[in-house]
Amino acid sequence: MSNREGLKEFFGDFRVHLMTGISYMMPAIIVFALFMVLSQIPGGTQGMMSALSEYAQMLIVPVMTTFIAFSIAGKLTIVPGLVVGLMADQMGMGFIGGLIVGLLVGYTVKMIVVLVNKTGGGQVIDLLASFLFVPILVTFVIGGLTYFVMAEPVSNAMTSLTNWLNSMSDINAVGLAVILGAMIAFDMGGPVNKTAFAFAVGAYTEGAYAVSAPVLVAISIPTLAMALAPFLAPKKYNDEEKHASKTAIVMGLIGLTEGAIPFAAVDPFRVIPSIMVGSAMGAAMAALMGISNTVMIPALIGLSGVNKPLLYLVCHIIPVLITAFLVNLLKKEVVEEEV
Amino acid sequence: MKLIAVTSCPIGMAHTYMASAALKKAGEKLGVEMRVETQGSMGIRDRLSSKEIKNADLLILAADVTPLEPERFRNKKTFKVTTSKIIRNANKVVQEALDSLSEEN
Repeated sequence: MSNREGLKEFFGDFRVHLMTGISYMMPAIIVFALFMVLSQIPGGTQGMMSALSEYAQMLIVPVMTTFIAFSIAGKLTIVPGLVVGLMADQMGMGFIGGLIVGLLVGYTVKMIVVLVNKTGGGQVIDLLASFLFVPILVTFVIGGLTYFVMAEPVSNAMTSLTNWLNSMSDINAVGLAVILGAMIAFDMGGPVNKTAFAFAVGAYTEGAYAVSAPVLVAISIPTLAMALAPFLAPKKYNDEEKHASKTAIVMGLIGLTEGAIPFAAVDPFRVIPSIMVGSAMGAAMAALMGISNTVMIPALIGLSGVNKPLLYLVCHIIPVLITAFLVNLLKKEVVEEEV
Repeated sequence: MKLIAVTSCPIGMAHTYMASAALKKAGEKLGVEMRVETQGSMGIRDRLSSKEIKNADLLILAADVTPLEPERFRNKKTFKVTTSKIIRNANKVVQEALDSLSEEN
């Protein structure tokens, strides 16, 4: 194995690590958000609901930190990841801080594992490494680095980033929403989509709900539009697509952009630009109308945390209609193929 | 020819299962045996047994997030790919995987 291949093997796919962290973090966000909504209901359960929501919120960033590290180096990273991740978040380092700490913990542990494996291991060394060396040393070193070196600059940067996001002028907010919305539709759940989504999650964990909400609106528009389009112009779609449009109704209502994939696979150059227009438009409308969403959930369930439910629905319905008409306008009738 | 595959994606609701279905279909079309394990939001489904892993010629690893219990596949010949690539064109991916096998021999 050449040196470069060795490095590549060591660092792995950066994006996979980040997405693994986000994947494990999502349930914490959902628990936080839904219990926060439930804590608004007056009565005896209010205190319990808000306590649950508060603890869940404390865990959002640490869980992401931990599973970024876990993705890099496995089981040994869990305790240092949770401890230092929680500390970083409590010191105000937020999403970006959690991400940096996750990478540091992961790669440090992996380095130690590689070194231990070079010595050939053995029961004593394994025991020392896994119960003493790794948890204590990594927690101490990365924790110290976080506490003394990184906490202040990163939390300052996060504060100014959050202030900037929240104070953005209308035009900037709409511009950002258009870009993020178009990214959501571009590859329907692929890497570009997930990059935009990760940005929204970052804004969300910093409390910039007005930035994350338009992205959430963009998510279900492509799928809902492609669910609708075949009903409006059945001749322009083959049987497989008509079948896919039925599945797409459900997928759209629960908020999965992936429902548009079967249509984009058949006819990418007409479908993808159309749904990008639709998602960008929905996001822009949401930004213009000042929609915010305290639950990080798209589509119907997301309604529970939306400040203006009616306008939220309008932000979906109009772009869906326009996207469906646009794609049908571009598409030609299907010619029956001889198989 | 016996192929096994693992699919996973960040949310674990759509890509994981779409890729799994596409792989099975491609396997049928190309006449290779295809067993797929999905690692979606509810964890491992259709778990590959250690016997299946041992008897397989190649593992197609379509893991957009780090797979669960990866130690089961240690030293297994692996073809890495993303779920979106499979959903776009599973036949091509399976063919490429098969080609990577014959290149080695």
